[in-house]
Amino acid sequence: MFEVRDVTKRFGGLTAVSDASLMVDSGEIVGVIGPNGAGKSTLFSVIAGVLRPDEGVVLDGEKVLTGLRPYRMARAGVARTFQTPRPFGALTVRENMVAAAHTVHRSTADAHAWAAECLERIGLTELAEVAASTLPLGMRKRLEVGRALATKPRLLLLDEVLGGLNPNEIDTMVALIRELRQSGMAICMVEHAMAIIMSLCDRIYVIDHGVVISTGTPQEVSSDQQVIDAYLGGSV
Amino acid sequence: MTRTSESSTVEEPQTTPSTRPDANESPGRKIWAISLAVLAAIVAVIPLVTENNYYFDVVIGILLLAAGGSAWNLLGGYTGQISLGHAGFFGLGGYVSVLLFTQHGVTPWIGIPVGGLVAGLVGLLIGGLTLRLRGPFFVLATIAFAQVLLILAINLDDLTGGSPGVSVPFKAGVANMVFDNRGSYVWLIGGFLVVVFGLTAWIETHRLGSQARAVRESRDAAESLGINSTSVKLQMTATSSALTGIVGGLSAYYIAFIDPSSSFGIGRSIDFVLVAIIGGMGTVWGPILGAILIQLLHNELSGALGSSGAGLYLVVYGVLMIVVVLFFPKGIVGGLDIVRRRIRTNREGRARV
Repeated sequence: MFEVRDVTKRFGGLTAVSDASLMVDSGEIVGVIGPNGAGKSTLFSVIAGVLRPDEGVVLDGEKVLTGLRPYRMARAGVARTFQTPRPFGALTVRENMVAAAHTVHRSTADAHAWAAECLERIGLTELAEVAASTLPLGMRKRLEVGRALATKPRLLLLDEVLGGLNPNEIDTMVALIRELRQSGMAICMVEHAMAIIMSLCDRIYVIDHGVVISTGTPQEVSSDQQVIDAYLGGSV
Repeated sequence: MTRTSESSTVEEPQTTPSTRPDANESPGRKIWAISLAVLAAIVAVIPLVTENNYYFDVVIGILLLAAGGSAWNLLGGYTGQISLGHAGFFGLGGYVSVLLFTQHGVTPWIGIPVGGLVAGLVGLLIGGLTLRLRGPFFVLATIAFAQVLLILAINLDDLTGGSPGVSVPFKAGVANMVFDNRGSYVWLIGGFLVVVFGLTAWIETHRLGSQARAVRESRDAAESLGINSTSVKLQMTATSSALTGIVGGLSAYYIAFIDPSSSFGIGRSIDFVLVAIIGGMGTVWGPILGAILIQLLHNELSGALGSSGAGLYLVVYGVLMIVVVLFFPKGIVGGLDIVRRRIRTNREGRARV
């Protein structure tokens, strides 16, 4: 069980995240939604260790993870993808995966074997020897997720992995995410595509102006009057 | 907790679980073992096929340049940290080993490794101070570092002998690294190059090299995947600077002389960068091929241009560098790769017809 408890993050006079709490259990997909600038990315950055919160803690069960640097966070089992994919461009797809696999496997042979397994899982084996910089967006996003998987995370943070994908690519990605949930991973995703979020997530947190204004199952959240007023604008 | 429908597409990604035994072995291992043997064989044979001192001079020039370029390549090519101050490590290794001999009688067989160690530690210090910074600070710091050492070497003349430099006293004997036959230097320095080559190939195919290239491509992405970028950079800096220090020691004992400007000058730093870029940054063979080309070109040019065009070869290097960067960003190795691939596709095309 991963938990964000009472996290506040300020940038100068601006409070980007205010007293936000969030929980993700293993085998659960949690969605974080909210209008642009609501503080979703800031919250993600706090969990991933990129930003240190002014107040509050990030917990893995009883273990405090707050303030760990990103690479330590990754080693503690928290993996994230970037909203704009950041492949190791000059390296091949396989080399991308191997670099990540080396975080959990010291030996070259083990890292290569595990990387090959992950490549198979994300369906990029055919493109393993291609330079990552030549991949189209959909493949890049898949590589981004695959690389995160190669670090054997227990919590996976997905930052808009469905954005910019065509319907086919979305189906593939959604299938992959469901498969990961089944394997017992805790998944937390920020996404704009409401229909998918509603069908994919077990629970949803709605953020507005840095404050969690609603939480619950997709049904509960979408019928919450406060959410309809503040975010959905009554259109759902 | 409500489970939304597990749709039928769950099975989809499991497309033919192809078992690839070759993917589990690190694939390059055999190729590198062969390459290493070839390089070692070439080095071993050269002194047996010629006794011409001029050839030895050219070959040793290539070997030193190749070793220095390879050492630079670990940091610049694989890790993406461009140093324009490797002359600092080169000179440090040279001076430490020479002064240990002239002032304390320490044999170069110990002095040169000690020089390498000192250079490595200083590299670690410089790296620790500057590698955390983003942007061009590292490059600037390395230039400044070599310049500071240059000025110190000139001004601390009680210790270093100042700008006239220090000669290594000629005391015949293997213990003093003085050989009757110049071919022995080919074996010595070539042997060291083989070690550097092997180390580079090892790093390239193992964890450190994989992580270094990841850091080079994107530090943030690397960190997000559990790679400690600072540690990776420091490991590569220490290795690179220590090896460069050893090159400096070997060079000083080969020419039996060391002075500040040829050791610490910016020209020395640029030589290493040049051979790595022209040969192919981030490749094992690159700096060696680059060193061969640059050394031969240098000899040809200084012959052809004579004393009238003393600085003209720098113009040629400049043009060469621009051409390589524009058309062969992966240097000679990258160019050969393109040729090889074209031949292969041609052959496959013909086979299909």
